[in-house]
Amino acid sequence: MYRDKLFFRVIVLIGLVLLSAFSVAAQATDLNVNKVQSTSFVPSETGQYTFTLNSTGPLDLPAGLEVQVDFPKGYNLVQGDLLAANPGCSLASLQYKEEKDRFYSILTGPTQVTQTATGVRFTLQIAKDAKDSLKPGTNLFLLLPGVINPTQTGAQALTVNLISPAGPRYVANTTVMLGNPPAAAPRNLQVTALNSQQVTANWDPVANADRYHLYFARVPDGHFNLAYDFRRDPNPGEEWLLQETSTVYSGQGNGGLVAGGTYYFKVRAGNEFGYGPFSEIVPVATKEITLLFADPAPGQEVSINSSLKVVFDQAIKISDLDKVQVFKKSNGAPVETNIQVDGAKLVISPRLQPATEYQVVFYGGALESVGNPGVTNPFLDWVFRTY
Amino acid sequence: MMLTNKKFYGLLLLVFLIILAPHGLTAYKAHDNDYDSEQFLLAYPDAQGSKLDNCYLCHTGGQVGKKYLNSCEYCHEVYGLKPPYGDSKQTLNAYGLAYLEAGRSQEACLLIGGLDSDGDGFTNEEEIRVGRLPGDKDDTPNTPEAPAVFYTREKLRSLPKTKQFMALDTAKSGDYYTEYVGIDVWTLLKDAGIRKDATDITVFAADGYSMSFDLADIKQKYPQGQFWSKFPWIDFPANTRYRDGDKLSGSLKYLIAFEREGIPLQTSKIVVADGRARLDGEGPYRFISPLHQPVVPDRSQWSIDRDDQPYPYNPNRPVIRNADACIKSIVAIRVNTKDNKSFHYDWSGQAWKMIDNGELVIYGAIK
Repeated sequence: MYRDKLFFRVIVLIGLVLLSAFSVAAQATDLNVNKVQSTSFVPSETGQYTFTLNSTGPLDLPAGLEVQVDFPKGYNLVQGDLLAANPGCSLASLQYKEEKDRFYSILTGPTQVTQTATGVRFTLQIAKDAKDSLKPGTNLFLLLPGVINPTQTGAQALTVNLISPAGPRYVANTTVMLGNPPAAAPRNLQVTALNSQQVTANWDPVANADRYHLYFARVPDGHFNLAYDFRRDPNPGEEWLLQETSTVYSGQGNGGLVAGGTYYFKVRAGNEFGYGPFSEIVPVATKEITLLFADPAPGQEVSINSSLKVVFDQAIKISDLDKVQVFKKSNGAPVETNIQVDGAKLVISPRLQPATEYQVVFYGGALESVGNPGVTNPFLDWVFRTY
Repeated sequence: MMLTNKKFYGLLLLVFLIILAPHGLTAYKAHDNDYDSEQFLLAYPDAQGSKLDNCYLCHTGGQVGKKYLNSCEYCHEVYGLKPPYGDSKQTLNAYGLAYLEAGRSQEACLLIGGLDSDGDGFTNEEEIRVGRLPGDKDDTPNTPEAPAVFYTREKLRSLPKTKQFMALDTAKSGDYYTEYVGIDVWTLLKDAGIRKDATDITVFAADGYSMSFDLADIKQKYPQGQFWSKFPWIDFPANTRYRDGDKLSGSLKYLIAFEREGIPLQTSKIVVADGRARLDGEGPYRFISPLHQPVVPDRSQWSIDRDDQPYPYNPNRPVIRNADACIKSIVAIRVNTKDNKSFHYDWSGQAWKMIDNGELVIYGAIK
């Protein structure tokens, strides 16, 4: 009797398990491409394509998931080695962020480019499981760098496939439009230092342009980066849409501009397809507080009762007293000092010992101009001796 | 075995939970804030500033591949810095697990005070009261103080100096070339009397951060890379003698640096800006790790064009960014053996005083 009961219960249990599994599978999930962005939709240029995908049901992103994008004939793809020192265009990824997350989850893995009868296929195989199933409606971003656009303008049909190792396959179709950017380069680029850490740039507008990109470099023949102040991870597909013909830059995200540094700038105009030719290159030096006079001067020998008198090119205040130091040169020990400021003059009274070498140091940002806020000193140092 | 009705429906519920609920389970995220440290200090206010006031009160180190990772690194490795996160529960020591199971609160700390979580014969409370780690069986009230050597500014500068111009490859804050002067770490460890059975060191900063390094790595010299002025994400001194593409001279070593560009390192302090505390300065001593391979520093993680060519930011680059392992404001180096990563020498209450005085302590497996 109890065997029958047990059998019945086991059957019910199995049935419920199958029903649950079926109901999960039956939540038919459609994949849609909401948006396709690229750093360039200009014929023959290379861009990073970002596909914003969206599913109507929960989406599992297990290890082994294949993300395929089929491009029509005329496209090409450059992919490098993720583990190389210079990985090139191999940083393809799937990214998503749910409400509970502070950061985007980034899923990566090996990539492959294969020629097909209809064009070229990109494949990214996800190496590591996502922890959770993606909730319906959550944006899933596919970042695909190294896409070389075909040579013609016009519409191009693309297909995105998500193929789970467990079987389900999701397909979404989309179309992108290729076109030409503004033909003219911006003129009259003017870059002015506002202070030690900021410069401002402005230029004449370009016909048929609705956006601009300003670039900077450390040397005139060097590589130019986007001059956009940014101090966080970019969100997938995030763009710099500078619609004005002026901007302020302080180098945030790339270490920051330094007092007295020289930088080089250029600008180009763009539209929804991409960006046109560059303007001329314009140099600018950031402002700084300059040392005019120091007593004792570098290498000078003075008595132990001497005070140090330092004169700058403008009235100053001390931003951080700990950044003005007199060190005993032999051991780097800081010397007790009393510091007084009088306009552009600074008097340091240290406790000196006889026959000793000292190093005066103003760390960067120790001083700030009274009349020009944000103008600071670069690193300054010199050595003197006592007799 | 026959199932009772209760067990049967319990099993049914479990099956449903297994099918439907696993994605609702979330990982334990201890590093989101200082909540757990605060609970411990509310329960044991005297522990503030002591060595117990640190992540390793509850978190353990561990072996990953051939390398031993201390508690900071092990947690970053197992749990990860960004999602999808791993399970940080794996990084908890016996005391941390007991605290978690007791409910993660001030009361939980007191509730587990009578337990002997690490099984070393002393209750958690007995260990905490005398500043010993209740989750580490090698650190008990009977553990003797380890041998230690203190270095002052004078003593450090009396050792043979090493000067090296090098690249610091950071993830976020901008890369740079600079010249550091200091003592090569292996020379310093020999001067401190390192024992033959020593295997690795743990370097501690005044703010509690720490990293471990294998002695096999510390002893090596590393090849220099090239100098690049053309990449705007890499800063360089205005007066450098190098030109774009030049091979940098010499080789690279692990250093305890005390000068940069000929100037004593700026003494570190904690400053609060925009409501966030951060470390300002890098001295008086900074632990300098060289790049193990001569790669070009990649773009900043915090730049809008970080994915562009050349040298896009690659979170999975196999060559570790050396700036991540260049530890500012260091005050202590613990010399470990294969079996002992817990030599006791409590410098933690003195850390900021040591910064001001220019002192560094080396302790553990030394003669």
